[in-house]
Amino acid sequence: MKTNNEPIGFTAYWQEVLDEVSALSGGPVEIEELPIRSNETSIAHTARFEGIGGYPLFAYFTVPRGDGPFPALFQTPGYGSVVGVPAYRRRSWFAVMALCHRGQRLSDSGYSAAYPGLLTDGLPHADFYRWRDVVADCLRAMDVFTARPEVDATRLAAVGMDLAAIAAALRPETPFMLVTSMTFRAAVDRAPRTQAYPLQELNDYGRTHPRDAETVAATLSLFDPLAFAPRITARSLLTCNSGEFEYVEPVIDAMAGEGRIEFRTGRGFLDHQLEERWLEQELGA
Amino acid sequence: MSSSSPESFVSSVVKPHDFDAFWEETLAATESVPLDPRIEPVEMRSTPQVEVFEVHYRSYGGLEVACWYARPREASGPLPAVLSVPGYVGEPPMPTEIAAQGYAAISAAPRGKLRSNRVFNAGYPGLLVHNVTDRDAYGYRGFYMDAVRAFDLLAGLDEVDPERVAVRGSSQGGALTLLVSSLRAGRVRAASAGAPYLCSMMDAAKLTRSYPYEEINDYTRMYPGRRQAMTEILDYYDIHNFVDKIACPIIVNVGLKDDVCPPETGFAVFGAIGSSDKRLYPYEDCAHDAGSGVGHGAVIDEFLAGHLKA
Repeated sequence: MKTNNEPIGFTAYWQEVLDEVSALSGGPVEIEELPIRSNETSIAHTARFEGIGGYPLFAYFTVPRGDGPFPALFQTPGYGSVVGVPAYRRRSWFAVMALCHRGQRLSDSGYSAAYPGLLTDGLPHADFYRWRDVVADCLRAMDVFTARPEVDATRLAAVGMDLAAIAAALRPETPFMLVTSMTFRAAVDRAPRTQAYPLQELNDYGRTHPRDAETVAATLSLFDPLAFAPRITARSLLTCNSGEFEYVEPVIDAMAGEGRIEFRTGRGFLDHQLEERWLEQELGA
Repeated sequence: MSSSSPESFVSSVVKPHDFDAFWEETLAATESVPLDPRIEPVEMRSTPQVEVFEVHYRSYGGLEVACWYARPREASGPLPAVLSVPGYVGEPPMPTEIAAQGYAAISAAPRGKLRSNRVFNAGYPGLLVHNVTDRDAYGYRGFYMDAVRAFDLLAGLDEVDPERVAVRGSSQGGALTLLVSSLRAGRVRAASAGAPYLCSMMDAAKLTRSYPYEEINDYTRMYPGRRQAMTEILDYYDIHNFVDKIACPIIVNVGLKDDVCPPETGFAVFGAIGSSDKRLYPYEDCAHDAGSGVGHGAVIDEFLAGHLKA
C-alpha cells in the first residue's frame, strides 16, 4: 500500500501550474543548429521558446548523427548559474535537451538568479516562490522536447536533481527517471543539520525571517519529492550517500513505478559509470 | 583516458622567451590600479559565529569585481587567512565554513562570474577561447589578475596576518591557486590545488572530450587555420609555465579517472612545481571530484591548519 504524503493544497497548486503550461502548447519554438558545438557524433542546436508569463527560455538540444528517433534524456537544470552543453558520450547515444531555467545564464533576460539566493527567492508564500516558475519551465521544455520527431518518447528519461522527480511526476507518461540529489527532500528538517549551501540558505532565511517559519515549511512541502512520489510511474534509479538513505527510501517506497536506490561510493568515476550504464541499458542506447 | 600511465606523460607546453616580461608588464599594469575596496556587510549570510561582507575591488583594466569576505566574530589578534578561488562553471562559494574555522576568508569572483559580469561576460562555454588568438586581449589575462588582486586584498586587510595567508581551490580554482602561489611567491604561506585545470591545455584537449577543454576542440574544428596561433597564445597562459616559481608548501590532489582535467596534466604540473615541500594525492577511481568524496577535504583542512595556525 503506497503512502499518500500530499500536503494540503498540493493538487490544486500544481494543477494551476499545469494549466498555465498547457496554455503555451503550440507556441513558437525556434530550433537552430549551433555549428560550433556540433561534432562528429552529434548535432547541437539552440532551442528558444517561451515559458509561463511570456518568459524567454533557452535550452541546448543535441541529436546523434544518423537516423532517429533516438532514446532521449531530458536534463533538468542543476543548482547554479551555468548549464553545460550535454556531455560527449550522452549526446552520442541520446537526443538530449539541457534546459536553462529562468534566471540561469542564457535564460537570464530580465532576471538573473543569485547563488546563494535562488533557493529562498520569493519565500515565504507558495504563489510567489520562484521555484513554481522553475518547475513550469521544466514542464514547458519537456513538452517542446518530446514533440520533436528526433525523440523517442517511449525511451525518455528525466535526469537530474529534484526537478527530474517533479517533472516525472507531473508528466507521468515519463518512462524512466534518474535522480542523483534531492535538495527539497525534507529540506526544513535537514537544513539545521548543515552549514553547507544551498540548504544553508534556508538557515539564513530562517534566522532573518523567524516569523515566516510556518509559511516557509508549508511552501517547501509542496516541492518535496516525497509528495510527488505516488505520481511517478517511471522506472527509476535514485543515487544517494549512505547518510541520505533515511530520506530517499520513503520516496522509493511511495513511488507508483519500480525503482531502486544505489549508494554512491564517493569515487566519482565509479558513481558516474553506474548511472550512465543504467541509462544506456534501460533506454536501450 | 588515453594514457595508461599518467605519470609518464610529457607536456608539450613551450615557455615563450618573453613569458616573464609579459607577466611582469601585466602585473605592473594591474598594480597601478588601486584596489579601492568597497566593503558592505551582508546580514543575511552572517551567523552568530561569522560576519559576512560583500566586497568590490578594482583590478586589471580598472574593472570592478566582487568577492565574499567572511571572518570569525570572536577573533583576537591578526588572523590567519585563506583565499578560495573558484571553478570554471560554479559560482564562488560562501566562505562561511572556512571562517568558522578561525580564518579570515575571501572567496573570489573574477570577471565574468555573477556579480562581476556587468562589463566582461565571456560565458560558459566561452571563457576558455575568448579572444584566444590575441595574447593581450585573451579573456584570462584580466581573470588571472583578479585572482592575484584578491590575494593582495586579503593579505592587506587590517585584521589579517600577512605572513599567514594560504590559497586553495579545485579545477579552475586549482589552476588559480597555482597561479597566485607563483605570482605571489614568498607571500603565499601554503597552497592546496585540486584537479588543476589550464595545465598543458592543448594536450588536455586531445586527452578528453569533456568541457571546458572541449571548447578548444570546438574552436579548432570551426577555425582550423587558427590552431597554431591559439597554441602560441595559450603558452603564455598555461599554468604549467608558472609553477617553477612556487616556493611554498603545497599539496595537489588528482583523480586518476578525471575526464575533465586529465590526470596526465596534473602529474606533469605537479612535477614542474618549484617548491621542494610538495605532495601529490592521487585518488583511484575518482574523476573530477579528485578525492573530495573520500575525505580529501579533511586533508586540506589539516594541511592548512598546520601551516597557518602552528
